[in-house]
Amino acid sequence: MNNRVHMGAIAEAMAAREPQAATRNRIAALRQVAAAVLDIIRDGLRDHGHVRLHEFGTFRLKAVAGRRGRNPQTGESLWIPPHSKVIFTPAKALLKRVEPVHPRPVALTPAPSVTPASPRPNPPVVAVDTGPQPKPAPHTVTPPSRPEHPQRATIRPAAAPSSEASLPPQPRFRVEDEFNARTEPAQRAERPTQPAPPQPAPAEPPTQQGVPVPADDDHPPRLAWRVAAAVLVGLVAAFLLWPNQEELTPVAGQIPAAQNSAASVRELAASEPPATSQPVTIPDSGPAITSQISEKDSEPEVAPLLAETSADQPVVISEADQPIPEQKPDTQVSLPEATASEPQPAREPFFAATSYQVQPGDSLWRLSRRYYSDPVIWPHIYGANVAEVRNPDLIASGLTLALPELQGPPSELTKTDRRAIASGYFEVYRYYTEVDHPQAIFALFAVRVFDDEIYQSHRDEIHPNRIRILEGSPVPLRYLSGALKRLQEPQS
Amino acid sequence: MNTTQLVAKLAERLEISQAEAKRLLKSQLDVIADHLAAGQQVVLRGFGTLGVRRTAAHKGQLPGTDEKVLFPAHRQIFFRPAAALKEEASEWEAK
Repeated sequence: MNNRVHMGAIAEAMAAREPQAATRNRIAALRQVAAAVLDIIRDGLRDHGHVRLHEFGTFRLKAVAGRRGRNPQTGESLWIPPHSKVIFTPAKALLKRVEPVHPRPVALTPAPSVTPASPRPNPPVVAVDTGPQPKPAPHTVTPPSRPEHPQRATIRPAAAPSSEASLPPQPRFRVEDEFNARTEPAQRAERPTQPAPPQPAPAEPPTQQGVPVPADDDHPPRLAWRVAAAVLVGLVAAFLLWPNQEELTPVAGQIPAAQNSAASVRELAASEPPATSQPVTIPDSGPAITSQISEKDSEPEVAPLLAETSADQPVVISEADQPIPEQKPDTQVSLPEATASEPQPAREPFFAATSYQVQPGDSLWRLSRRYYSDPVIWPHIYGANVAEVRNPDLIASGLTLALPELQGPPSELTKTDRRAIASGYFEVYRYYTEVDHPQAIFALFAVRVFDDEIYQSHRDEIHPNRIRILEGSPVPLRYLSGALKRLQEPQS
Repeated sequence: MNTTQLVAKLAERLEISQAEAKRLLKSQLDVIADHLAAGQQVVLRGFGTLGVRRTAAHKGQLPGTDEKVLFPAHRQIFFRPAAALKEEASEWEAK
């Protein structure tokens, strides 16, 4: 039962972490400490209902409702009264140690379209970003912060405006808009230039440009309806434009009108289909678009640049996002390899090499359990000290041993770790063969478990009978100790 | 109860300084975490067993969304309270 660690091993490992030598007395004292800690946790659960251990986890009492249960032996129905149970929630830090790269859930339904769809989800995110940002702007004045927004907004496809178009229009604009709708184009042309201050008011005039003119020309019965439609479109456009205007004015006071109108018309055009299906608005806004676009394009050289940069960002984001869903299927398919190989280079060694003076009562098995937290890899120590320690089963107290480095934890040994342990096991095999130890062949089993290449390279040293046993048939697992079985698991 | 309170109680009980108690507690939790990382079960007699189990890949739903997702196979830490603690705790009031 090497897979289970008890308090003694914990106390020993605690002693190993202390500067002074791990004497028996010290280990016993630490055992008391460990027991006291558990006792206090129990008290804490009783008195407080939970015990939160920093970077480890939380023990908590959870109330369980009473229910009707059945005695599984007799089938007799019985009442299980409400009670509490102890649950443990591991902290992130602890989970990370158990699994350095925790696989993230993979979206199932859009699985085939994960890669093509991922660019698509992103723009909406950006659009939402630009959308809400301008909205608060009219109320809280933050104009000088982002001058690039107008350009961004013009680039936005219809998706963003249409979503905003569904928002309820502000009531306080209605009067003004109606007024604007009836004003002459000349008046409207003047207007944007004069009200430069960052109030929402200047935004409206340009928005109305294309819309209301035909309304006046048409037949009287239709007129009211058209005006209403125009006002609605105007409102939507004003709502969309409004923040842009605000951000623009402080940046460049000389060109707000043209730029705004360009933006407004574009957005108007964009928002038209969802807002109204009126044919009337289109003929008018058509020429307006072309003229103002040309105006706008000639004006700012910076605009396309900014637009590009702002347009680049989502692309980068999408690129960053894409690999993750792509990787996920891989990690899910071949998890053990991925987790084993990835984290190692970044991490510092699990155990840094030191030296250790043997105390009475020590054995290589115990030292390995104490320092590497796994006893099965004790030949790792033996392999580094073959010259001093001939008999691995008897180490003299007072002897100074070199404890070699272990790069990964026993659950995730690296290639070099495995090789070193395998050669350690081979040294054990050599010694056991020398003294005719009955367990020699098991050392060979272990060599093959950890690194078969070591076995192959020393194959000519091994007695043919043993090779026959080892290679003749698949190694019966029952010949391996439980610990070796466990180590073999991730490999096969 | 949090770590600080636990350290204070431990220091009081063992008559050691709080710094020392904190170091010991940290060392103990660290050792347990090491064993868990090594894929072993830590048996704390009279208290319970902490261990790691592998969870097979399974379908599920992210809380708060309609999205169906696949949770890849991963490792999970479990705690199984000892019979003694279980019996005691059933009487205690969850807060």
